[in-house]
Amino acid sequence: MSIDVNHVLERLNEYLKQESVSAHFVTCGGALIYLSGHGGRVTQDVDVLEGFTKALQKASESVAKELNLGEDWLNPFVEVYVEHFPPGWRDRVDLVREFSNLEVFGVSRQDLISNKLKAFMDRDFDKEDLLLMKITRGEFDKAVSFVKSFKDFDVVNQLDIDILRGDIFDE
Amino acid sequence: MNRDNTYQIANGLGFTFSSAGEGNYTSSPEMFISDVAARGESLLRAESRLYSLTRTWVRANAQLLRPDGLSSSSKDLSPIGLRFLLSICLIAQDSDPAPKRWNSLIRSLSESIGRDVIYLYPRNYPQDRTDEFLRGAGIHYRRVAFQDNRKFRDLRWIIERNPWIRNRVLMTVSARADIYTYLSIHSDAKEKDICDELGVGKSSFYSIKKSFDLIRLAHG
Repeated sequence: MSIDVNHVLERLNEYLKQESVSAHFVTCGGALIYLSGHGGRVTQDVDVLEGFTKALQKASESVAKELNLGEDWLNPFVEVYVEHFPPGWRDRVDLVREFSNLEVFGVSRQDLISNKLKAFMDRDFDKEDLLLMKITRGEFDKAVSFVKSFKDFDVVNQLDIDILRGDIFDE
Repeated sequence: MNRDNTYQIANGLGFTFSSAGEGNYTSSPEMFISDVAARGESLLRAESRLYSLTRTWVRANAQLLRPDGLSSSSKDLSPIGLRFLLSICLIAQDSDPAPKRWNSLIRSLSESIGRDVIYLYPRNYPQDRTDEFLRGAGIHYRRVAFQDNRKFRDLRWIIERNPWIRNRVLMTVSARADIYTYLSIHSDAKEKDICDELGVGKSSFYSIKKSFDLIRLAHG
């Protein structure tokens, strides 16, 4: 089920505070879209692209128990997709939420768009996030350059991109 | 059904559209699915999330659906709407432990749409990269992925709140369960409205209504 992203992060901070530890992590995906101001975007988890420490894991388990969430509501499994973000993404992260014992960073807007376009290659519904974010042509073109850098990019993917460009920019 | 209502009905079935608020339980799952199908091409453009979520929900809950109910609720669908409905029925049949339940409806929908193919994606897009369920409904379009089941509330939540699903679980998936649910929600409903919407005959309706009235009397 969907989660209240702000609330779960507040609770996460509380449990870290109780243990007198601090943590920071980098998020992406639906939670970041929500935290970036698109309040209508529903998500069932908060992706952790980097920074899933034991302390964070323990705190997330406490939040899961308190709020009756699935134990992987704080989702570290997206780390395997780190190559689906443009090189150098770490240098471009932004602080999106700051608490007493927790800092949440998000990949940059462009990196998120590039990643979403990569995801769209396999999942048609990611198109809606690109529409929701009201991306510009410049942002789209940069994302296309990133997606084309993958060895498995083929003529069919190019066709998908051409059609998506038409859908997004009403061409 | 207006657009906001559709998303509220969806939330009543366990979807989690935050902008739609609390669930609405006044319509059957089949009315919801037909309403989704009626949106036609917009399901692949502005409402792709609704379509992929509906497909995912149907895949997980096919055994709780009434094909005869869909047959009735789909009678006013446009030709493209019928195709989208067929794509959803093919998913239901693929995951239902009793797939033969869907044979008659799928056959009827297939006959209605004929053998033409509608190209919503370029013709040169390779067949093996198109969506198999849309392809089965004569729509040529790229693959539409299913979503994560965690995007939905669990069945227990749905049964606790949605009378359509609860009564189907209690009384088996049947017209009987739906007539009971309909009368519980719309006590002043006319016989014609109920029979048309639920796809039941008059004699079935009166037999079940009689039982329903007796139960109401017994419970005061």
